[in-house]
This record gives sequence, C-alpha cells and structure tokens, in this order.
Amino acid sequence: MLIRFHQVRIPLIIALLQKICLLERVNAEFEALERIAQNSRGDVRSAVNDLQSLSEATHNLTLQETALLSSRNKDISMDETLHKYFAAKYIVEVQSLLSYSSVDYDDFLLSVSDNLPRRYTNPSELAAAYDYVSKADLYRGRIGTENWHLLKYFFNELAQAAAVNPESFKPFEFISPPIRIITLFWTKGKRNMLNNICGKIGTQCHVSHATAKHDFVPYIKLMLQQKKNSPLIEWFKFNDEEVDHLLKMGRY
Amino acid sequence: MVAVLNPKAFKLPRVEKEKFITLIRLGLDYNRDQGTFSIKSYNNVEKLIETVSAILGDEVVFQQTCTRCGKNFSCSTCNYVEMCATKNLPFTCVCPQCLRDRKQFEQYLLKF
Repeated sequence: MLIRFHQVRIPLIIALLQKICLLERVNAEFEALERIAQNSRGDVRSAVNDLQSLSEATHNLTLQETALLSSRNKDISMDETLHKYFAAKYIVEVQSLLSYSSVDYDDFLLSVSDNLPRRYTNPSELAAAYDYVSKADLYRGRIGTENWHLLKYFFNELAQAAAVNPESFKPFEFISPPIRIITLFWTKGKRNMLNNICGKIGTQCHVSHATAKHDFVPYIKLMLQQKKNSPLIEWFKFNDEEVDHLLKMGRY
Repeated sequence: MVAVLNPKAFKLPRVEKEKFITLIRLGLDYNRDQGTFSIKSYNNVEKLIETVSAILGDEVVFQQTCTRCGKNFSCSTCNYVEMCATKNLPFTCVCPQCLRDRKQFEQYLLKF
C-alpha cells in the first residue's frame, strides 16, 4: 500500500504559526508569517524552526526580519518532480528542476519512460520524446559512477523530452514508482523461491546458480511433470512448496 | 470552465446505470429524497473527480470547509492558489477571511 504525504497548504501553516505566536506571546506581523509559510514549501517543521529562530530573542517578528531567511533548497519527491517535469513549459525550467531534485536518476528515467504515453497522445510527439529519452539513457550509461561532467547533457536531453509540445499538457495520473520496479517487487517471492531451488540443485550437482537455472531447472520441471513423486525430489531435498513452484512456473 | 461543487451535496445530470454504479463504487453516496450526491469515501477521490469531470464536461473542484468558521469556500478565493500543490485534497482549509481576522482567531482558540 502506498501512502502519499502531500505538502501542507500555506493557509494551514499560517494558521498554525498564528496559534504558536499567540501561545508563545510573540507579536508577529501577518506578512512575516506568510513569508515563513511560503518559504517552508509545505514543510511544517521548517516553518516552526524559522519562526523560532527569528522571534526567540525579541518576541517580535516583522516582515523585514524575514528577509534574513534563505530560500530552502528542499528535496522534492519523485511525484512532485514528475508533476513539475511534465508541466514545464521551458527547457531551462526542467533543467533547474532536475538539478535541485534529489530523485534517483535511473528511477526517474524509468518513470519518465512509463509516463510519456500519458503525456503525449500524438504519435509523432511521443516518438520525438522517446528519442530524447533514449539519448538521455545513453548519457546516463556514459556517466556511470564517475563521469558526472556529462550530467548536463543528460538533463538537457530529458528537458527536451518534456518540452516537445508544452501547450498540449493536460494533468494526468502518474505511474509511479516505475513499472519495472513494481514488477521486481511483486516477483520477489517467486525469484527467491527459484533462487532456493537453484541453490539446492547447485549443492547436489556442483554447479552455479546460473547453470542450475538455465541447464537443470527446465529438465527437472519436465521430469516432475511426468512423475510427480519422482526420487529427484528427495535427492534434491525439495520441499512441497518448491515442487509446486517448479510445476507451476512459466518462463523465468 | 471550472465547476465548483459542494462535497456534501451536489447534483449531477442523469447518468446510465453502469456510470451510476461506477460513481457509487468510487465513493459517492446518493440521497434519493433530495437527488443529490455526496462524497462518502475519499479513497479514490482522484479517480472520482476525473469521472465527475467527464460527466459534467468541465474541470471539477470541490469546495473547501474552513476549519475555523465552518463555512464552505472555493479555492479560487485563496491568495495562495497558484502555489498550492494540493488543490483538491483535503477538503478542509482556512478561508482567507479567517486567516486575516485576528479577533475571530482568538475566539476560535477560546473554544478549546
């Protein structure tokens, strides 16, 4: 189950700050609280911290004092990054968004790839966008773990994919996390089971997991299908669940 | 055009049986006496808004209920609507009048 925590709205943060000011006997200007709430970008904890740091000494808070606040460079979530990415109108906008977002680049690339058909309904626009994403993927591969000087090219290609036709943007429901990751999550149990089976085959036949998986499992499956109480079960020390899994498994 | 609906009671044009069932499954409740719909479950509210928008042919936004005065108000009256990332959920917020009115706020606090 996925529970999303959204940003807290500005009026609600202002209301909370007003309450704190009243209880702590801080005389604060409305505009100052407004500025703190806007600066917090929906993060209540940072808004409370800012209020405390600005008003602790004098118990007074004016708009001028909030000028000392630096803009919070917040980490933005995958959902928010995707939303801003697809809603962007200019390439520069996307580039700056990607540079301050801390999402995993590989996950983001997969998510963009999953969501592009929802973003572009026109086939030629979709093809152009996928072309840019494929180039971005190419740069991501070249970056690897050390060539980070190529990151700007990765951002540039992704930004171009978002800005193929900015006018055609209509809000849509995002696929997130990426389908590939969801699939890996859902098949984890099956993969673990197959891994255990391969381990048992490997122990008895002195082969690696990979060899067991490719060269042994298909034949053992056929043998078990023909004779369900085959002596192989005892020899490999398969339990009932593993036998059942072998009999029912499709391609892997 | 944006249609602003009251989540506690709003009317929709007559819909087919399948559509009606979909609406009920998505979390709407139907009051036969008044012929109005209300939101019973918020679990599928995004899908629900999408479906209601398709029925009405307009973008749909639900009214917010002020946590201080209890009145319903629309997001379009809020000064921060452009910065707001959650225009539709939750359906409770603080209305612009209550936010500015210090006396009303103090009275609100006295209730607790």
